[in-house]
Amino acid sequence: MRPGPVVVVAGPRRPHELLLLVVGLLSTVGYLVGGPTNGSVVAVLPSWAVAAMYVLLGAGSAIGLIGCLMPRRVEYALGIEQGGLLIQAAGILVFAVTVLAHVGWRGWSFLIIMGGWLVANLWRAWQIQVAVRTLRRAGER
Amino acid sequence: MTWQIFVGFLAAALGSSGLTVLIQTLAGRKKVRADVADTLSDTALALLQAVRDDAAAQIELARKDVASARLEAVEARNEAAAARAEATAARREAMAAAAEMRRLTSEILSPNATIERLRSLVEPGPNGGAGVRTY
Repeated sequence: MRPGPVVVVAGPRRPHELLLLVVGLLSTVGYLVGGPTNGSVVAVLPSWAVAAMYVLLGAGSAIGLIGCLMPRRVEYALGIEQGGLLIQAAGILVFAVTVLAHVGWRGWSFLIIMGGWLVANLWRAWQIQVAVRTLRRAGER
Repeated sequence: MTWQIFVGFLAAALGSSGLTVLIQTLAGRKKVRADVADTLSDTALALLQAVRDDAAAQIELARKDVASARLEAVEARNEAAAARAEATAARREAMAAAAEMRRLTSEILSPNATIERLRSLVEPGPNGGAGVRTY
């Protein structure tokens, strides 16, 4: 077995991803503490949908943060980050569609943000998939 | 209504795929560790083998050096013995020549010297010396 070239899969921290995970966590904490404020988009929605959305969002955010911030064991941390991102993406999708169903197109600005967040999560999850595959192939060589 | 069901399925698919990835990561971490340990030990073994081969090559070279040095020592000893033998032979010849010279000189310078006596000394015969050849 000969030593091969250096494989870089993680790179520096991604601030938007990290902070969106924090935002998701903070939103969940805020919901658990106080509930949605009057007049906000969320207050219009049925409470079971909101609860489901926050469960997914909170779980995904927490798990994703753990994976992002874990110091060593790159492949393990990347796997956890990917799982968290996908679960958070499910929560975002549920939220966006519920808002779309109940509020309609008046909530377009909110829907744009949610859509962007969703696509970012899926994109990063795909990146992690490629990175893990590269790591596995490098480990086999 | 149907598109909402479709989106519901989509969300369920996303969530379950996330969960699957999580479970696979958690379940596979021992295997990753084992693979890493395997790779590390393979690397260590390769390095060890390289060191071993290097050391064997060095030992071979040292052995060759020692053998050639031994041969040279044996040759040098032989030459010294030959030189000593030659020196001893040369000394013996020199001493014989000196003795002969002393004998001749004493005969020549003695008061009893006569031509016949000297001639009998020089010519080979029962009385005389080894015979001096005049070229």
